[in-house]
This record gives sequence, C-alpha cells and structure tokens, in this order.
Amino acid sequence: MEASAEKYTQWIGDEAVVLDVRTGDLHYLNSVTAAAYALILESGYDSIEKELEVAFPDHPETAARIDMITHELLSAGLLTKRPRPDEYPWPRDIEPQAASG
Amino acid sequence: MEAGGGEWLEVRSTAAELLHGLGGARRSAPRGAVLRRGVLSIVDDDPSKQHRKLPSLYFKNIMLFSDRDTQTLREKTSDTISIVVNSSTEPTYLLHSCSVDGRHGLYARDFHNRSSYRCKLARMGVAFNGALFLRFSERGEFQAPRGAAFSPEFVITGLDNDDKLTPTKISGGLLTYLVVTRRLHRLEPPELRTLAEALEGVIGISAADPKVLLQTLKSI
Repeated sequence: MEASAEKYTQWIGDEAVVLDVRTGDLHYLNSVTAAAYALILESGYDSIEKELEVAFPDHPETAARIDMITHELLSAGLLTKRPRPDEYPWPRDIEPQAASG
Repeated sequence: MEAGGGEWLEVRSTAAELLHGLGGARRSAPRGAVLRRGVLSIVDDDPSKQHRKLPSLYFKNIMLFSDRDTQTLREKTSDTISIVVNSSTEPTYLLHSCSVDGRHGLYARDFHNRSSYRCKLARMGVAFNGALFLRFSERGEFQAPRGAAFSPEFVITGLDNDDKLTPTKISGGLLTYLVVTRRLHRLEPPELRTLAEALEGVIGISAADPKVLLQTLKSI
C-alpha cells in the first residue's frame, strides 16, 4: 500500500482537504484520518501501525481503526495497492530464455 | 452558447419565446463541438393550468430562480449565461451573499431565491444580494456581479442537528470542503490554499429553525 500520486493536500488545522489534481475530485479528511494520512505521506504505509500505536497509545482498537482508515483512504483513491514483487506479471513479449552454454 | 475551449452549453426552455434575444445564442452547436446538454433550463408552466408554477430557471437539475415576471427571469437568465460561460476562467461558486447587521456572509443552505427558509430569514432582517453565483478573487474575497467584494464572516449551511433548537457549528477543513463543493469547474491547488486562508476563523452555522440561526449569528 502506498499514497497515490498527483494529490494536493491542504492541511487546515488538524483536518485536510485533498484535491486530486488529475480528476478534480475532492476529499475531506477528519482529524483522525488526516493524522493517519500525514503519517503515510511521511513514513509510508508500512509504518502506520507502529506510528498510530505511538500516536494513540490508549486506544485499544488501533488495528480495527487502521483497517477503517485504510478502507476510507482506498475508497477515496488516496491510497493505492502496491503489488507484491511475486505478483508482478511477466511482460508478455519476453519469454524466459534458456541458459546459454 | 459557446463556452470556450470548443465547448458549447445548451440553454433550453419549455417556452421558445423565453429564449429569444439571449446574446450569443445559436439554435444548435456547430458540428464537432462538445455540447453540454441541459446546463440551463427555463421552465414555464402551462398557462391554462389552474395552479400554475412560477416561471423558473434551472442550473442542471437545481432550481435557482423563480419570478412571476418573465422579463425578470429572462434578465436573470442572461446574467447567469454570462457567469456560467466565463466560469471556466473566473473562479465561480454556486453560493449567495447575505448580510446580518452589516456583517457579510455566504448563504449555502439552499439554491432557490424563494426557498421558504430564505424568505423567513429575509422577513427577520437578513439581506440577500440576489446574485445566483459569486466570484472568488485571488485576494481571497467573494463578489456578486453587481456587488462589492467582501470577506465572509460566517457561512449559513444546511447541516442541521436533529434537535431543532441546537445550532450546528463547523469550521476549518469541513467548512472549506463544503464551500469548495460549490465551485463550478475544476479547482486548482493555489485557489484551494487561498480559500482555506479566506475561511480561517469563519464559522459555518446551521439550524433547522431560522430564529435559532439568526440568534446564533448575532451572538458570534
């Protein structure tokens, strides 16, 4: 998972309005989602769980909340699923070649 | 109507005579042009009906303006065409300006000039400029076509509480988002930044009861 490209984020206090520069779509992020989005932009999605546990230490449902925020950001197109290396397809026009010699 | 960039906007009416004399009009878009259908519609009810609706101007499917006098409606249509056609180059918002005790604000609760809520507020002393759209400048000010530029001190919204006596107040990101959704055409990042700055410290207020709204407005 990674932050999608071509987004302009206007931070307003602890909230944000995100503009998709390509499509013109707009998204409002409340303070919790905006904080998570800021962490993703700064440290990458992989570190969000650790960072959110630090940011919300007393919250017992951090994992569920991360899922909810992830879903929200994915729905808004602000996050993109990054394929795992083993999911990359072979280019169709290149066949694996036999070892020479 | 030609809107620039090869785009044409359709202005249609249930009564053909209401379209006569609108500047820049053609019967049909030239071949190869991109036509945006039904952008503005003038609807005049059947005159033979016993309960006839007022002649009205629609922007897409939003009823904007109604008036008994068709000449007034035609003038408003002409103004609206000019604003909509130029909105691709001039930042334009589907918002209205109003003032309470000399303080200027934005009205974003509904769109129609004769909405019952707006009429009640007008009877209680809220002044409405009458413009159907506002322009937004690089200086961060809103302006009606024949009005002075102003910085809003409040925004009247439609985010009512279930409890009719308790007003809803919003600000910051949510208020900026709400205002931005009224933008015609695509917004660019510098304008979003300017708008967020212009709305800093501004409160959006809503209440189901217009009296509660007005009391709240006067208390802030």
